[in-house]
Parts: sequence; C-alpha cells; structure tokens
Amino acid sequence: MAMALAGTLAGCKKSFLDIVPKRSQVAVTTTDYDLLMNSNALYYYQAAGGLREFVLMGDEVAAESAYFGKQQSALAPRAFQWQGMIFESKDYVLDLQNQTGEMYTLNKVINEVMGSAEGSEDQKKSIQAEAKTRRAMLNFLWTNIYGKPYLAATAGADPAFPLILEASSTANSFKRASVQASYDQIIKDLTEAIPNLPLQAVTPTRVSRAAAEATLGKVYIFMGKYGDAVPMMKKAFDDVAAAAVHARLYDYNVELGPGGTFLPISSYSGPANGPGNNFNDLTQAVLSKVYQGGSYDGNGFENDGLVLTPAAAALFAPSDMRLLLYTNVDPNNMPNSGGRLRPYGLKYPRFGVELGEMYLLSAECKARTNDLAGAVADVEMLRKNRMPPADATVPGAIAADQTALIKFIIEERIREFAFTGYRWFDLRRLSVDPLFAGAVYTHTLYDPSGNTVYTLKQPERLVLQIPQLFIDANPGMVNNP
Amino acid sequence: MLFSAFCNPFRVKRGVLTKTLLVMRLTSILLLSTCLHLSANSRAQKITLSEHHSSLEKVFREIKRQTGYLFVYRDEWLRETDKVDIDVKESPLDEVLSLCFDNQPFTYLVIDKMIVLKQKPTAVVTLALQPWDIEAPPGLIDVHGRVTDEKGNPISGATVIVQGNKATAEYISRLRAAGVPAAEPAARDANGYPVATVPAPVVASTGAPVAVVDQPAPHLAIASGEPAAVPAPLAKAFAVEISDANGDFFLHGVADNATLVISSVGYETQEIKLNKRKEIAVRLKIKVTELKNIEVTYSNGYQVLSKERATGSYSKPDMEAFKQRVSSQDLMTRLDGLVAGMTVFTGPSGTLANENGNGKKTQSALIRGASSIQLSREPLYVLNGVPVKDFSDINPDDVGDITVLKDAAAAAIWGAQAANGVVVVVTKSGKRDSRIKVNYSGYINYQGKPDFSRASTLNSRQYIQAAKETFDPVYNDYSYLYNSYMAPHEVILYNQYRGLITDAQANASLDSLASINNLDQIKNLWYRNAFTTNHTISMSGGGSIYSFYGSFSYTDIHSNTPGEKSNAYRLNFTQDLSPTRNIKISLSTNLNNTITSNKRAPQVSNLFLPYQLFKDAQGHSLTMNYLTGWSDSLRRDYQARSRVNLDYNPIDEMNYGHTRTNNLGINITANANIRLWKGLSFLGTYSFSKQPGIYDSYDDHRALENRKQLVSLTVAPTAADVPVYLFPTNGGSYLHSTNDQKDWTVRNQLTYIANPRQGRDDLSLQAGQEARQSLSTRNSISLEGYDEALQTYAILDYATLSQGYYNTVTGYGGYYSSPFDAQENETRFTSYFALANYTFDHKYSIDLSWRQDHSNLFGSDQSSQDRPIWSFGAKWQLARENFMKAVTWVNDLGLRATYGITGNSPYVGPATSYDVLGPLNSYPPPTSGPGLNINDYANRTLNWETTRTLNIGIDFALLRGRLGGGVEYYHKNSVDLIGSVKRNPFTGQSTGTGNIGNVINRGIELSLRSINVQVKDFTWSTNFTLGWNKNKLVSYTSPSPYSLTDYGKLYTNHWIGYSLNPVFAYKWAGLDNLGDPQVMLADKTITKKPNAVKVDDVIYKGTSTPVVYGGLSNNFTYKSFNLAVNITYNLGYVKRDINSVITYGRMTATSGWGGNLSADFANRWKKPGDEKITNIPSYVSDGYINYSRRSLNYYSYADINVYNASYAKVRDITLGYNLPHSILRAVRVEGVNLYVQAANFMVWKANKLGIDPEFGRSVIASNHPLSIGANVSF
Repeated sequence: MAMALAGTLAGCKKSFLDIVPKRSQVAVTTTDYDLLMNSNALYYYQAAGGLREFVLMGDEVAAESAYFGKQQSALAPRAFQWQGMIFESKDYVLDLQNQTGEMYTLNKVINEVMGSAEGSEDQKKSIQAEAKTRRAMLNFLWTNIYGKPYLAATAGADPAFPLILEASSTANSFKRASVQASYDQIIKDLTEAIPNLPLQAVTPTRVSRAAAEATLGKVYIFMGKYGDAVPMMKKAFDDVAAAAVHARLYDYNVELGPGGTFLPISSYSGPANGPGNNFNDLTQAVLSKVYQGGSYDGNGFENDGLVLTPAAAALFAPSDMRLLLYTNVDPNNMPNSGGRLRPYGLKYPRFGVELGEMYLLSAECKARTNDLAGAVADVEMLRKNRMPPADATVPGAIAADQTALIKFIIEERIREFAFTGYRWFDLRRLSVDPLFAGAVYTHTLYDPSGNTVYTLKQPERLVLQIPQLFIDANPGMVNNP
Repeated sequence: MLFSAFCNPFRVKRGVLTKTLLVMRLTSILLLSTCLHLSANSRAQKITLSEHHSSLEKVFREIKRQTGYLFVYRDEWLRETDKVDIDVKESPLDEVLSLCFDNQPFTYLVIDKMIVLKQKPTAVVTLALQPWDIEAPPGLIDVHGRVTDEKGNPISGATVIVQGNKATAEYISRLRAAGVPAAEPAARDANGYPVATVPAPVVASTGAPVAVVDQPAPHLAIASGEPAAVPAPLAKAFAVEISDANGDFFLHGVADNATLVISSVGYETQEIKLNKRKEIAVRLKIKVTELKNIEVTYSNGYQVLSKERATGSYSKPDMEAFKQRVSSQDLMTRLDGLVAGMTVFTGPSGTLANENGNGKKTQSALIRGASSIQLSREPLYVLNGVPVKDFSDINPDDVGDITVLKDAAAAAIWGAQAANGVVVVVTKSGKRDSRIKVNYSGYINYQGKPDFSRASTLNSRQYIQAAKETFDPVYNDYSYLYNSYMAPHEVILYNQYRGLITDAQANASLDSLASINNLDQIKNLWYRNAFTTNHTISMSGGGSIYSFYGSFSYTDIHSNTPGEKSNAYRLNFTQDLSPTRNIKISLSTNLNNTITSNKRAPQVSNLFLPYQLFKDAQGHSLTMNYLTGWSDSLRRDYQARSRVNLDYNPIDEMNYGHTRTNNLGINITANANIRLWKGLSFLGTYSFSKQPGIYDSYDDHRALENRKQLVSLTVAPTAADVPVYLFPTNGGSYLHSTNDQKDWTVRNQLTYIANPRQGRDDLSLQAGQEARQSLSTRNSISLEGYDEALQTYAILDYATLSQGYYNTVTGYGGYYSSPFDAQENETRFTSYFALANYTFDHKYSIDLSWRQDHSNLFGSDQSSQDRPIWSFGAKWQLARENFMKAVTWVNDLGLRATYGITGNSPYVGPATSYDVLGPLNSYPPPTSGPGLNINDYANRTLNWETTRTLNIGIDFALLRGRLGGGVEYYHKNSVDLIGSVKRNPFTGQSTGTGNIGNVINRGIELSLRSINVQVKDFTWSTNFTLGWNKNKLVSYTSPSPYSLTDYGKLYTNHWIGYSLNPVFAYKWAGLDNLGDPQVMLADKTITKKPNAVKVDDVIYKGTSTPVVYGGLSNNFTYKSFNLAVNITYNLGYVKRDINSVITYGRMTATSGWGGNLSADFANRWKKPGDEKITNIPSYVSDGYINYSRRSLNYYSYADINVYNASYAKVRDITLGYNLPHSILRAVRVEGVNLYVQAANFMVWKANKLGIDPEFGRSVIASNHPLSIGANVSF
C-alpha cells in the first residue's frame, strides 16, 4: 500500500505542489485586472498620501506654535517654512513611495490587460484606458511638484520626474524627463484613454469619460492652453450629465440649514455628518480620491496647529456656509486668542475630480478666453450651493472685468479648497502668469512670545527637490536646487 | 528459567591485560558480533587441504593459515574428538568446515572472522529429579538470589561466579546419580531449548579479537542474546550462573561461606559473601562511562548510527540532567547548557509562540550561531522521525532519546530546512522480552510570587518628591488637560496652583500619599504563589513479538495570576510488533488536551503609582476613576449624558470577562520495516497529526472598555436628552476562534545493508521519497451584545458603524472590529533523498547524503528549486590501528571531517515569479466594493539560502573510559542570505526581498565527560560542554539611506564586518551644564546637537549573542544519595540596559498601570554641577525644547548603558535519594527515588549593575523555583 501511495505521489508531483494559497492569486483574467483597478490604494489614502504636504505649503494657512510641530517629525515644519530640503536621506518618503507603488500597478494593468484571458476587447480597452487616465493624473501631479511651472519656451529643457512606463521591481535606470515630455505623455495617455472610457463608471472611485476629460481640461489650463481647455471642460460637463447616475453639488444652504443632513455641529469635528467627515461620501465626486487630512497620523506631515490666515478668512463672506467647517476654539477647548480659525470638519480632503472644481476650472478658462458671462455662470453655480443665493452673485464690477473676474475665480478656489493642498499648485502656475506677477507669499507661526514669518523664495522654492532617498538610489541624477 | 554452565577451573594467561579492560573488550566484541550476521554461507575463501588422521587442532591451524580465520573453543573439548581425514582442493570454507565437524560433537558458528565451536545440543532430558529435590550436604546450601539495578529493575544475564566451593564435586556426582546432568548441564533459553555455551576469545590489548588456537580460553555464556561478562577472579571461580529474565538465579550446593562475584555488562562488579544466607539481593551500580562507550547511538530521524562510525557532528545531552530538570515542562529549556554548540534562549524574551495562535510556546534556540537574517534561525524540530512545529505536546517524561544534528553530514538529510541544525527527539518504547513495569513520576515545582526588586522604581516618598520637582503648570496648562488622565497627586498640585486649596492643605495631602506603599497590596491582590504539579504514570513491557510503552500524565500549571488555570492531559502509547522475523511495525499514538482559562486580572507591577491602594482599611475595593483616562468633570458629563456608569474599580473589573482555551492534539506515527531480501529492507514512516483548538473570550458590557465603547456610540447632546444607543447595552463582546493544525508525512525508503569482504566492511545504502503537508487554519467570529447563557447576540450595522459617528457623547465613535476573520496557511514538500555509509575494515568510514526538496512556493517556478543538498563525511578510527595498540591509555580515538551544504527555504512570497495579488481587506468595507492589491511583487532573481559547512572533529575515550569527549571545529558559510534589499524607489518599492550577502560562522565545541572519583561508595562525575562561536557578516547588499544614519546603525540587527546582532552605541561624553546628554564624535568633538552624529560616530560594543556558552554538570553519588549541580554559562556578549528615564513632558502622562519611573530618576541632573556626579539627563517639561535642544537617545543609547552580559548560573541543583532495598522489598516496590531541586542561582556575572542578563530589568516571575519529586517503579 505504501509503495502504491509513493507511486501516486510521485506521479502527481506537480499538482501536489500546485496549490494556490488562500488570499493569493496571480492576475490571469480580465476580471483580475478589473479588480486591481478597484484597489483602494488608488483612491483612499488612509494613513498617508494625497496632498498632505502641500496643505502646509499653501499661502492660505498659518500655524499656532502651541500645537504646530510638536510631534517628533521635522517634515511638517520644513514644509511649512518652504525649506529646500524637506526630506533628508534618512527620511522615509511615504507619500511618494505610495505613489510610485500605484504607478507599478497602473503600468502592470496598462501593459498586461490586453493579453488577459476571458474578457472582451472592449472591457480590456476600457480597463487599460482607466489605468492610462490614472497614470496621466500621477504624472501631472509629479510634473507639478518636481518640474518648473509650464512655460512652452523652456519646458523642453526643464527637468521634471522620470517617466515610468514599465512595471518592474528590479529596474534600476531612471532619468528625469523634461516638463514637455511629461506633458506630452500626459496628454497622450488621456487622449488615448478618453474614447475607450465608459460614460458611467461603476462607482465614482473608477474612472469615467468625464473624469478624464476634466483632467485633460485642467492639464491644458496648467499649460496656459485655455482655448483647448474650454471645449474639453464642456465635453466633461456633457458627459457628467449624460451618465445615468452622476455627481451633484451639495447645497450647503439645505444640508447645513435647520434639519440638514450634515448636522449636528459637533464641538469635536464640526458638521458631524458632512462629507469632510465621511470618506465614503462620493456625492460631489466625478472621480473620488480622498486622503486623511486630519490631525497627526504618525506618518510624517501632521497638520496639527494649522489655522486659516486672517487674510484668507477675510475672503469669506460672513454668510458663507463653508465657514461652518472652521472653528475659533483651539484643541484645548479655549477660544483662539487671535480669533483665528482652524478647520475641524475637513478630515477627508478630496483631490480626484470634484464637480466643484470643474465649475471653477470651466469658469477660469472661459474668463481667460473672455467668455465672462459663461465664467460668471459657472462660478455662481458653485457659490449658490455654498451660501445663501442672495450673497452668491458675483459683484457686477468684477463680473465685467476680465482680470478681476479671473482673480475672483482664483479666490473662489481658496474658499472652496482651503486646507486641501490645491492652493500650492495654483501658486506655482500663477507664478508664471503675468496677471499675478510679483506676488509675495508668507507663512506666519503665531506665538504668544512673538510671531515668526517665513517668506516663500521664488522661483527656486516653487519646485520641490526630489526626496533624497530617490536621488541617492540613482547616481548621476541631478536634483532641483 | 535457569541457565547454568559448570566447568573446571581453567587457566588464563595473566599479566597482559588488566581485568576491567578485559571485561570491556569482551563485551564490546560480543556486542559487535551479535550485531553481525551469524550465517555460515557464501564464504568466498577457498581452501586446499589434505590431512590424514590428523588432530582437529592441526586442521584448525592449517585453515587459520590459509584463511586468517580464528578458532575459538575450549581445549578440553578437543581431547574427546576423533581424528580427521580430509582431502579438498579449492573448496569453500563452509564445505571444509562441515567436513571437519561431520562426525564431531560440535557445530560451529562463524562470527566475524572467528569460527566459534559449539557443542552439539544434547537431547532434552526429562529429569527424574529437580536439583532442589536433592538435599544439599552439610556446609553446602542452595541459594536464591536476585540481581537488580539501583532502581530495582531486574538485570537478566548477569554472571554469578561462586568462589571457594571445593566441596561441590561430590555433590555434583550425587546430582548426576539422581539423573540431573549436573556436570555439563546445557543452559536453556526462555523456551527451554538448550543454548550454546561458547568459550570467549582471548583478546589482545587493543583492536580486533585474536583467539589463539593453542591457548585455553576463559569461559563465557551467551544466553538469549544477552552477553554475559566474565569478571576478574576467574582462576578461583568454580561455578558460573546466569540470572534469568527476572534477575533471579539459583545456586545449588555451594559452600555456605562462599563468595559470589556478580557482574553484568555496564554495571560495577560486586562481591558478596554468603555467610550462610540462602536469599540474597544484589544491586548493581551502573558503570557510567563504559555503558556510554558501548551503547551510544545517534538518530538523525532517518537512520540510527553508532557513535563509533558516525562522521557527522552529533550531540546528545546528558539525559539524566534533562530528566531531573523539572523546573520546566519545555523540552528546549531543559536542554539549556547540555548540548555543546546549542544556545537556548531562556527567559521571557526567548519565548516562541506557535504562529497558529493556539497559545503553545517553546523557548527559542540557536545552533552554532545565526546563519540567517530574515528567515527563521530556529532549528528544525523532529519527533519520532517527523518534523513538528514544536515540542509542546510532548511530556518530557516520555522522551527516550535526544540527538542534536549540527553539521552538514548530520543534518543535510533534512534538506532545505536543515541549515539551522536539527533537534531529533525519540520517545520511549517498550523493550522486548521484558516483564511489565509500572513507573510513577511526579513533582511539584514551586515558583512563588514575582520579584519586583530587579526593576526598581521610585517609592512613594521619592515619587511625590519627584512629582513636585517636575510640576510645570505653565507649560502643562491645566486648561489643555481638561480631558486628560490626571493622577491624584497631580490633581492636588493643580488645585494648589489654581488656588483651590492652600499650600498647607496640598502638602498635607501629598504627605499622606507619600506615606502609603501599595506594594503589599499589589503582591497580595494581583499575584498568588505559582506552582506546577506534574504526575506521570507509565507502563511498559514486552514479549518476543510485541512490546509497548504507555503513559498518562497530568500537568497543572498554577500561574501567579489569580483566576488563571491551566491543565494538560497527555496520553501516549507506543507499540512494537514483529509478527514475523521479517516484519517490524511500530505505532506511536499520542493524545493530549490542554485546557486553560483566565479572568481579567490586570498586570499591575511596581511600575504603577506607588501610593494607590486597591482596598481601603476596611477591605472595600477602591474605585480609580482617573484610570478611565478622563478628567473628573468630563467623565461626569459623559456619565450624565449617556446614563452609563463610568466608575472604574479594578477588583470588580476582574470578573467582568474571561478567556478559555481548549486545545486537543492527536498524533499518530507508524513505522514499518519489512525485510525483502537478504540485506534489503523497506522502511515506511507515516505520520498524521491534528490539533484542533478553541479560543473563547467574553467581556461583559460592564467591563470598562465596553462601557467606553458604548458611551462613544451614544447620542445624547444634553443630559436631558434620552440617550440613543448605537451599540448594544446588554450582553458583552464575544470572540470565538477555532484553530487547527493538520500535518501529515509519508516517507518510503529502501535500505540495503551488507558486509562486504567477508564481513570486514559495513555498507548501508538508503534511498527514499517523502511528501509532507502542513495546514494551519484559524477562523474567528466576533459578536457584540452576546448573552452567554442564551447564546443570543445583537445584529450590528457594520457598514455604518465602521464609518463612525461624529455627534456622540464623546464627540466621535465608531466600531471597527471585523465580524469574521479567517486565515489559512498551507505548505507542502516533496523530497527525494539518498544516504550511503561505508566502513572499511572497521576503521575507515564514509557517509554520503543527498536530498532534493520541492515546495509549494506559490507563484515561483519549480525549476528554481532544483538545488540539491548534499554532504560528505569521513571518519578514521585511529585507536583501532595496530600502531595504537601499545598506547594503552587511549581506548578510543576517532578523527572525522565532513563537508556539505544545507538549505533554508524561503517562506511563500519572496521568491515569486509573478506579482501575487491579494484581496482588499473586507473590513472596513471598501468604497469600490471587492478588489485586489498587489501583495508581493514579481522577483525572479532570488536564490535559496545555502549554508556550506566544514566540520572537523576528534572523539576520544581515555584512561579506561574515565575521561571521554570530543572537540570539533566548524566553518559555516551561509550564502545568498535572503533579506530586504534596496530597490530603486522609482520602481514603486523602496525595498524588496533579495539575496543580500553572506555570513560566516566559525566555532569550536568541546564536550568532556569524566569520572573524577570512583571509590567504594562514592562517585563524582563531571560533564562539561563549551561552544565558541565567531559570527561575521562578510558581505551585504548596499544599505538603505536610513541604515547609514546613527539611528539605522543603533537599531539594526546586522552590520557588515560585524557579527549578527551587533550592539552599537554613542560614545558618552557626559552631561553639559544644562543636564543635556553629550556624545563624542569620531573626530573627538563633543556635541549634544540632535542629528549631529553621523553613522561613523557610533561605536561597536559587541554582540548581543553569547560568544562562548555551555554548561558544567557535576554529579556526586554517595551510597543512596545523589547530588547534581548544573551550571550554565554565557560569555563574551553585551546587552543594552535601556533605562526608561522620562526626562520631558508630564511625569505621569501615561494612563493604565504605569506612572512610576525607574529609581534612577531620583538621581537625575537637577542643578549645574550635577553633571559631575550623575549621567542621568535633566528633566525638561517642554517637549519641544527637549526635542530641539538635545537628544535623549544620546543617553539611552550611550556606551555607558551597554553592559557586559556574561554570567554563569547554577541552573539547578538536585539532591536525590534512593530508598534502601530492604524497605522496598517489604512494600513490594522495585525502586523509589526522591529528590528536591532548586533553580537559578547566579554564580558570577560580569556586570556590576546588579542586572541578571537573562531577565534584564524586567520583573522575574520566580527567583528560585523549588521542586520536590518522586520516581517510583513497581
């Protein structure tokens, strides 16, 4: 019997060892790749990631010394002070590491899904298009962190981030691409992707055609190609509307009004049931990407102690319901001595494609191409959902003045997106915009014994250094100054 | 049954040999002989002989000349023989011999190169009279005696020689007259058949037996396979008797004043004067060294090798010390210091828990230094030939034999898992042809209560003093602390500061706190005396075809935590069956059940606030509401709104929850050995084990954590609102978890054993195939609102609860536990292996092994595993060479050398050829719905870890075995170490798994056994083991940027050029005038600036793994008393004494059972100038200043806090007593051994800090465990 058993075992050696452990598989079918695009690493940044560090670098924020930088991490103070080196060699660069990890998954899907089993050609193309859109979004982010703001004249020579197009864990040769090459790749990916994307994504965490179009519109705006952006934003709006179930703006007048769904206002976290407290609230998202923007999470860039600068606070009309996301009570339950506001209903900032931003992007490119009426309509569409309609209209003098209207739209971006990190990217692109030439940006650290003011050194500090860990691993790679 | 052999006095050529040596030689030769094939066929020698009417002696001489074969006989036998006529040409020896003996009253046996003559069996005689029917003449008596060992076990086959019995001849003739064949009665075996009575060969001083034809030989009997030793004063001897299976012997008609000389193999010879006694009891003492020299065998799990011919590095512990070490039930702990080259990591930090989560634990061990960085460094554990996860299921009383395999030749047969060495355990089995024996062993091991003194903390007075000194109400503004934990003394200080109470009131309150000491209450309420009791009853016995060993044991572990129970029941039954000569089957079955339970006793130690009592003077338990972590006002607010009582009373709390585990283990191992043809056999090993376990945990809703959970999920904006509970208010939290471990092994092998060159050589070949599977599973269900009695539970809205609520009483609440969790881990191996052993001329041996393993590394290419593992070994038994014969003080000397490779297979994951995907955690529910992540990235460049080992050793036995031992040198080069390698971070991974480098272990091991004193009633013997290991990381992958910082170097467990587990430290440069720690950099500058220290400024202090380690056991036996003292030592290593001095922030900021500080805090820097007298940094309340002005790590990780951890300890000391035989006879008990044992006495330690390096500053559960035990055999 034993001998027989031995024979059997020897005979089926391959199948005996060929077992798939629980909770593991390799990607074979199109469905496998489809499920990879459901990876929450692509849309939910629970511990680190998103635009955390850039919240600290916008000019709408200041800091209170009693709370800021108290954790044993130097990253937040360095970012807040706009220092050149934010990451030393020994610093663990969680955010960028997560992003390059995402890029691995995206490249794997882009390069492998067309050869996968079982799925239809259309399904495969659609999944590939999603991955290409996300790759473009990542490259757009990197180019706008590590490359100079886009100027057609110099973009071909300005170094940006390496273009990573293969998924390989042992690759070891990376070269920085130019800003122009990066944008070319971004536009190529988006352009290829758009026709293959579905009008209706299964969930807002998946890429729809509108999301890719809005992203491309934003890319054009960041390149100063406002004329190209206008039709792209129109297509995006059309496609949002065409989707059976689509994003909509919350009307804060309703939700924060008596009996509103965001209520009650908690002393701990502001509007208790508002989208800022619920990472799963996808109502306003065309493409949802959300990160943990709350207090200290132990992973580097804590934004404890940040407050709205008095200047930024002054941009809000008193009736602006968005002010309900801020409190003047410090974490110790005492009113802030300087009356400054800290955000407490913004635990989960969003940085995918938000419907609110689409209105502002559309408004901006229309204003820039002198369609002032269209621009006003777009910006007011957002504003009337954020404050009583009576206060939502753009003052006539501004509505009639192109420059003033553009500046008003930019300010609206601050009001809508303070403490999300958006402002940093606006600072960069506006630095090459003659309309905003000469702007000086400062950060104030408020301290009872004397405030400290830091000034953003332009243009050098508008471009971040690539984290030293990445440079060290690539001898010969020249970092930004 | 009686065996006897009478003979005439005979002559011995004296002077050549000492008597003892003779005994030993004879014995070993006979053992050897009986192991060989006693068949007389196929002798290849050709003989040409032409003799006419010659004496047999002459013929023998001629055959000897031609063949070299020796003849063994008694010369008087030949006198009665006929003359021989023989004429043969080129005839085989067998044929010639049968011609010679055709008409002679002999047959013959060919043993080795000896031809032993044997009288032809006479017909069975029906006796008219039994010997005892005949009355003995005056002055002569009939004697009945019984030979036993010291424990009262019968010794069969012992030789009893009667001296000074001249009158017996006449008596014999009377016996003869009565029909009793007394002159030369044939000895009979157990079945009544006559057995051979053969003369023993005379032996030259060393080496192979040389029987000389013309020389009369001493007389020796072989009965039922048990060789009898012929003792010394043979010349005077008259009669020889052999004790039977029960140890009984009968002597007829011996002089009543005769002296009996009783001897047996492995025992001390004893002389007893009869003095007219007819009943005598003989208790023989074990001859320790000689027994070992003869009987030591090594089991590697695949074959059993004699020590003499084994080429590899095998070690066996002193099993007596192992058995006696009852202070632990853990097998590995019991081996501490007993095996040269194996370190057992004792103490709490060395505990290894089963991954399966069934709570089974063992102590971690390291054989010959660490040879891996990322993979396991644990040896492979093998039980009865089958790898197991750990030895936790075995009762140490059932262990029969332990062998530790250290080098490639010994371990390589275990293939890809053997690089860390192998520990092979074989459990007891019954002896064949032995009567049924019952044995009881039991002990109680008393550990008492823990000793807090090693982790000394501030007493109440010091504590209050320190609290006053460090109180900083400006930096720690009261308003910031409104919802924080605040200890009672802090409340007083803040009340004083805020003007709520006067200074006098505050001081009075603080003084009263300072006068309270809660240590007694802690010891009495939260601890109890710990003890372990163990009882084992075993039974063994056997007949000619069946034997068994069975045991039942019960272990009760009464830990020092109140409310804890742990009971283990083990049943073990091993059977051996040989239905025919060619089939042997053994079956080992094992059943064990461990049941534990505990309540919710908090782990309170002297680290808790020293003034907080748990009961007041009236014995009422006290509430400690500040331990909820909330301020009084906040807690009252929460309580009012939620209407949930938020008092905290730790004594009541203890009964609000409990945990129960019930683990079952079933293990069946069968071995079959079927002889197929001549030396060819089939061996099969089949093992199955299953270990289902249940873990149940319940915490009532009254438990504080559950009340806090409820409050955090209660919506009640004001106290007037009716609270809305989003969480169950009744029942409790229930966790039900089941785990299972299922393993099986199937091994089929063929073995071929032969003795080429007419038996002068030994050959053994084996080849086989093995398949193994190990499957561990674990499922758990977590319910809330569970009612234990009704078994009902609440249905929760998990999706909503996991997103959290922001409007609850505490501001925010959520519930994140997963209702269901499952884990499964399966590994499979298929392997092919082969072994070859050859011994030439009993002097030169070689061993070869080869093995190929394939495992189910998911996602990897099977061909990447085609890395066979092999070894080669050779041994030269030098003492058997002729030129060594003259060196009489050397009894054994062997040289051996081995080389080979062993592997360390990676776990599933790192070696995948494809990206391995895994599911998103299903909890909290992902927004997108189910999805996949990449868990392991494709990595096609990984090799298995391989260790190449060279081993050179010498074995020796000197001075008639009084001194024996071995020395070994090894060189282990482990290449392709698997570990974390730096990836180019642009790839998406900062690190990946790769082959990172190689580490070399070199070492010397020494083991010595000696009998220092051996006089009449007193023996002193010593066992000494020593291991020296030099470990060095030779090459390593390019380090990560982090590891090139001071922190990276301080926290690493490897550094190129140094041994693994290096300890690096800052060079201390004292405190500055602010009490800030300063360090000296490599360029001699002194700094305190954070981040100023670079990687090269951090200096090497040594390794944290012992470099020299081992044990020293001394055994003293005086009459019935035995004293054993076992010392273990670890030398040449260092440890870091991380002194947890808090030097910033609030002194009592931690809630829970902390709050107190190391006693050193009282000695901190307080004022300028203190830097001259202390190294303990100053206290700074402002965390930012602390962090920006200085680095406390410069103190904690300074070289002054690294100490030499060398120590030697009496691991245990045991005093035993064997009850006298006279008492035992009366109660019909064979042996009773009583002992007491005490453990853990520091003999010497290198550090002057008073630290026990085994425990560091942690609390010691028991300083000196004390045991009392008994072994009784029936």
